[in-house]
Formats: sequence, C-alpha cells, structure tokens
Amino acid sequence: VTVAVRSPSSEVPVVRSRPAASRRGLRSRLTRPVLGQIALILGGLTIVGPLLYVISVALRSPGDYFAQPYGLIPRHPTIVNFRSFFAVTDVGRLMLNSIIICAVASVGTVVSSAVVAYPLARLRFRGSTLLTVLVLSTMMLPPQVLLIPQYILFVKLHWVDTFLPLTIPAWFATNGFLVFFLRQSFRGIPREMEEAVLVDGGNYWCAFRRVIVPMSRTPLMIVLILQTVATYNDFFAPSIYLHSPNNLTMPLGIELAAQTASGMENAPVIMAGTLIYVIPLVLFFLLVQKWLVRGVQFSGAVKG
Amino acid sequence: MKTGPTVSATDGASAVVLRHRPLIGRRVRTLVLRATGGDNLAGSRRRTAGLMLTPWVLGFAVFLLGPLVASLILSFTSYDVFNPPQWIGLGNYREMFADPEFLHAWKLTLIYGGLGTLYMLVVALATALLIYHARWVSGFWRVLYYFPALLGGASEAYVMIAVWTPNYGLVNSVLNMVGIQGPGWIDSQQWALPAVILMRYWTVGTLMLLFLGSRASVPLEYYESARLDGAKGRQLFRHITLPMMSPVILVCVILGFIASLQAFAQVWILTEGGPQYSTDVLGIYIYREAFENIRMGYGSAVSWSLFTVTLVITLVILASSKRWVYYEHGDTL
Repeated sequence: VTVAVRSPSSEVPVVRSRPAASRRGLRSRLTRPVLGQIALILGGLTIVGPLLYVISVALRSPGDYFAQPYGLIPRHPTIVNFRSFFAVTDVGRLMLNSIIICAVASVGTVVSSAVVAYPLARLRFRGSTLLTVLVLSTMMLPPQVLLIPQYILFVKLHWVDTFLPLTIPAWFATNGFLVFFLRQSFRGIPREMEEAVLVDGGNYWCAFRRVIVPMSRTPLMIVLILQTVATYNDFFAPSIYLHSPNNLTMPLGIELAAQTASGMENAPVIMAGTLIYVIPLVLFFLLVQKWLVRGVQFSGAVKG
Repeated sequence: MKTGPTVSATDGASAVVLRHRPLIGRRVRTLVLRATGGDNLAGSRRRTAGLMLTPWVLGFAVFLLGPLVASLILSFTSYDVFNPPQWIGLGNYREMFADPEFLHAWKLTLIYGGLGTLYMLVVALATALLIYHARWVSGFWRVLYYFPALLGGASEAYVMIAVWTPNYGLVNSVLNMVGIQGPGWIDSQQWALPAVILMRYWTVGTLMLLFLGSRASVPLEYYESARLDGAKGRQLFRHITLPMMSPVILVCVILGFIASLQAFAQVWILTEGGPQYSTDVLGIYIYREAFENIRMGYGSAVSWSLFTVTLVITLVILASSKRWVYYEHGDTL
C-alpha cells in the first residue's frame, strides 16, 4: 500500500515537450509552463478575490456603499462597520463559545478516534473487518436522520441550550470517516516496532501509547485540524441546540446581527462580522498548513 | 503502585522490566484475567480490543443506532415533542409523496448533488493536474488552492454572500466593470440554484489534494513506455492518468455525492431555500418541517427518504465502479 510520493516540483522532466518542439528553442519550450502559470494565477484570483472583497465591503462608509458604479475598492475606508457589529453582538462571548466548543470536541475526537482505530487496525479478533465496515458505513447516515431523535434525547436530558450536545458525542468516536482514516494510517506502521514493546513485557495498550501514538503525529494532527475546522464552521447543530444569546457561536452571531440590523445597508456590517469570524481560521490555517502538506503525501500513500 | 521502571518480584529469575503503568489496577486485573481466560497474548489482545472499542460501542448505540431506530419509529407517528407521539401508520409517507413541495425539493437536491458533484470533480481534477505540472512554485499553489477548503461550511457561505449578492456582490461588480448587467443571482428564482452550485468551486481544495496525491503516485515508467509506443498527451491522460486515478475518483464521487445530498448550511445561509423555494433542497425542507413547524414525525419520514436514496445511489456507484475503476494491486480495503 505504501507508495512513495514524489514532490510535484521534481516532476518537471515528465512534461518535457515533444522532441520536435524542443529543437525550436527556448520560447516554445516555455509556452506550456507559462500558460499553466497563467491559468493558475487566474484561478488563484477567484480563490483570493472573495476574501479580499469581504475586506473591501467591510471597510465601506455609507457613502461608498451607495456610490455608483460600485467599485472594487472603497474610496473612504472606515472601521465604523466593525463598531456597529460590536454594538449588536457580544463578539468576545461568541468567539469564546466557539473556541470552547471547538477545543473540547476536537480533543475528544482525536483521543476517542485513536483509541478505537487501534484495535481495528491491529488487534485481529472475530468480526474486526465487519466492525470496520460498520464504522465506515456510519458515514452514510445523513445528519438529518439522526438529528430529530438526538434532539429529543437531548431535550429529555435537559442538555438543550448547553454545549453538551455539541461536545459530548465527539468523545465517543462518532465520526466514522476519521476513525477509518486513523485505522488506515496505523496499519502503515511496521509491526516490528510494536513487537519490540510486547517482547519487553509491555501490553497492547503500552504499544499503542509508546509506539503508535508518537509515530502517528501527522495523521492525529490532521484529525485535530479537520475536526476543529468542522466544529468552528458548523451551523446546523448549534442553530438547533443553542438558543440564549450568551450561548451562541460565531456563525449564529452573524445570523443574529443580520436579523437585528436588517435592510440593505447592513451588508457592510455583516461583512465586518464575517471578517472577524474568518480571521482566526486564516491564522489557524497558516499555523497548521505544514501538517496538511504532509497529509498530501500521506493520502497518496493510503489511497495508492 | 510504582510507576517507574520496576522489576516484578513474582517473575523471579526472568525479571521482566515493565516500562508501563498497567491499564487497570493490579487487583482488578487479576480478577479480569481470571474471568477472561489467562495471561497469554491472545487473551490480552481480546481484552484490550474490547476495552478500547468500548467508547465506540457506547457512542454508536446512544448517538447513532438508537437515534436511527427511533427515527424509523417516529416516521410512523405524529409528534410535536410536547405531547406523546401518535401512531399514524403510513400517514407521513402518504402525505410526503402527495406534497409537490417534497417532490420539488428532491428534484433540486438531485440537481444540486449531481451537477454539483460533477462540477467539483472536474474543477478539482483540472486544478490538481495544473498544479502537478506547474514548473514554478507548485508548493505555493497547492497551499493557496487548498486554503478555502478549511473555510467550508458557515464561513464559506458568509464569504459567498459577498460574491453572489446582486446589488453589491463581487461577480456583478466585475461584470459591471466590463459593461454587463449581471443577473439577480441569489435574489432571483432563475439564478439562485446556479449560484449555490457555482460557488462550490471555492472549497474544492480537499478533493484537489486527494487528486494531487493520487496523480503523484502514478509510476513514471508507465508514461515513458507509452510514449515509446507513440502515445500523445490526450491518450496518456485517457489511458494512464485516468485509470490510475480512478480509485481515488471513486472515493471522491461517493463522498461528494453523500455530502451534497445532505447540504444545508451553505444553501441556508445564502438563500434560506428561496427565493420562492427555488433552492429549497431536502436538507432545508427537513429543517423547516421538523424544527420550524415542529413536526418531528413527518421530518423523520422525509429524512428516511434521504437516507434510502443515499444508500441506493452509493450502492449503484459502487456496483458501476467494477466497470470503470482500475485497481492495480487488486485490493480495496
């Protein structure tokens, strides 16, 4: 299953142009790579453009906002929209709620998924393959099917309007995809490493703690990143479980601001809120992107 | 109990060095050992497996299987949370199939899922190949194109409001600059669905990374020998690149389809299903019926239709995969 992944930059010779073309010299040999870069730059603009435009709308003064034609860059940048957003929502509180839920749910997901993935990867027992298939098949359950009974369950437990429905299930390895992802990565670790621990008199739990976990830092980190981002961006579950203004998360806060200050002129306020909401994610991305790039090589190895 | 390296006294001469803290207390351990049959490796393996799988078994029972069964039962009842459920047999299902809004929601969901998944795959594949063949700064492009995938869900939708809103949106502003009066996008019955499908390109990063990893693991020798046989660019793509990437394409088709059929937040934040139900996908229809009209029974019945169709489509894609997916090593799991 392990396939060495070459970094794309070392692949240049593969796309060498046909012999006839290369004889014609430098200019024609550069045509294709230059066209490729132009396509990537144009595509890149459609990726970065929306974010820059959010900043541009958020900085607009009312005068800019109603100006015609509507330019891409505000003429009189102002931070008044951020002040308005701070006035209609308790941003500190929203952000704190989001961060608490993310932290508790993500740590729970990493710990529980790793603990469950290890026996599926390594400890062969009767029905272990069947169990893996079962874990994987839970991915197909639409959240909508589970949501109604889960909601009723949490109503009966008096968990509604607390963070518990958004955090506790994460501690029980409920995301089948992440469990399967970790199982596949644990299987890639050479067995000899674990056997060394077992021969020294350690048990399987010890092998898991001392060998599997330290050797799986990249996949575990990827699970942490994916779960953190998914929780931070979740809209569906929080909108059902959280009601009182003090308990809302960031995306619900923006929705609330949109309803409170409705009308077309509140668009810059919503964009100011969106910017405040997105900035932590952008910082988080810059912080963890090296793990994700390693993840490319990893996914190449798993799927290969 | 000592935690550092200890020499276990009972082992006498063999003096096994234990470098770990036991998972459970020694006295409990003795009891468990007696009950589960011996201190051999196989017994220990079974015990550890049992213990470690406990969280999943509990979570599966309480948060997945239980709700799944409950949802099936609820779908035969009328239930508003405050009063006990009333058994109404197939009533919900009869109402569902007679409701033109339900059929309309399904039509939109299939368009959104089908066209959306196809569109995402094409964009992801094209981006991955462009980045793979990039001669300069391919690492930079990889990071840049992946980046919005981390903003999926609510952030994506809020950013996309800035892009697709007709009066101040980025798309119409750009069109305006070149002298075209853009359509109403998310405020127009005709253009709202195309807008919520088109906007999905922004989070194509995850698929792109999977494709990039898969493309990078195709052995170079295949291309070289095909080129010696006189194959050209398009033929290489058709007969080597696509077949070698097909297992990953299959995974992406299935994951993409499942996720699109369940779509809720991206559409809800932009349009709330409107205007005039023109983006009323099933996820929104269920939300409205179950949580706004508080009809848990009916909502359950509709969500079971979603579950059934998801299963059927997944199975059909898997069955068809024998014809178009090429496994080099012959193993799948």
